[in-house]
Amino acid sequence: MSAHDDRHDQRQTDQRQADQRQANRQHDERELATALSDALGARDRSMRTPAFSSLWSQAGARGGLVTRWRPAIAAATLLAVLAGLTWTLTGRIDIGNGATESGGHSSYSDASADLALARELSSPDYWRVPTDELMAFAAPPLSADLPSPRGFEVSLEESLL
Amino acid sequence: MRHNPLIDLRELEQLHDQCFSWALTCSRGRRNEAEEVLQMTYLAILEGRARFAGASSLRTWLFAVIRNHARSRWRRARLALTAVARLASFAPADIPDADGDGVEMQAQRSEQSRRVMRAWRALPARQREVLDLVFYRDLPIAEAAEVLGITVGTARVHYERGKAALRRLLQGASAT
Repeated sequence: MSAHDDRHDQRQTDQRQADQRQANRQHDERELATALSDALGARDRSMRTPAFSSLWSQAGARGGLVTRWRPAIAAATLLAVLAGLTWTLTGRIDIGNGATESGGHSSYSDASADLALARELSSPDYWRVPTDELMAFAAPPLSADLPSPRGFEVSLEESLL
Repeated sequence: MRHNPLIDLRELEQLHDQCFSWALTCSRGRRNEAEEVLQMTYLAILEGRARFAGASSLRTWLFAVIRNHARSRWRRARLALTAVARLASFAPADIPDADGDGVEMQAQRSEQSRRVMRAWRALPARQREVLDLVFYRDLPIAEAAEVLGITVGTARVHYERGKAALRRLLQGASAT
């Protein structure tokens, strides 16, 4: 047998082996595809597909509802955002001015005034604090009615006895 | 249809079963989720948010829309879960995986199908989807790539890796 024939035989063997490998691969792939298809098919068979008409009409109804309410939802959202912004900005301005909604001094400024007064009163020169300033922080008068002192009236003699 | 003149309602109805099956794959086998995804798809078609231009087949286009809806739904759910977990100061690892058990596993009858489904579910999402489209729905790889919104080369890589991984997993399962 010549070297040429040997090479030819070798090539044929290689080709046969390559074909065999290819066939095995294809067979393997087909098996894999069949196994997966069977499994997925079993899954689909076990699930009842919802009727097209029901899903389609539900989607239509949902769409109609969303479309109908879309302008209202957008307007409400815009209003809420505007209200939030206004509230935040107004709140900031109020704090900066030291004023509350009722127009009086805010608790923040009251606290700082109390603190300054307390500092002055606790200093050795406490007597220099003007009286009207002290009066401004005096306790408000009681609004409750006091019992009439008429029943308690006694003469000097009686009191001595 | 006003917003989608190229879509024929009868054709859509004919594809409904396949669409539901694909929605099931995209929703990890959860029936309610699949129904919701399909309804969202139909709503998008009705409102014209999804427009069919006729560049591909209706089936390919529908599958792509279904997949996109399923992905965004899953992302939203994951975000919500992460937010809740953060509020409750759980570790992120405590968040259940989106690939959790669905009806799918319970529905399998034969042992072989169960084994294949278990191996298939263990694959990454892209590989799972490519194998579903090519093996089960007989789509060419180019069309599968179109559905998944990736290049043909990438789809081919996912296909080859998916096959190899599935084979390995099945061999491993039969060995144990």
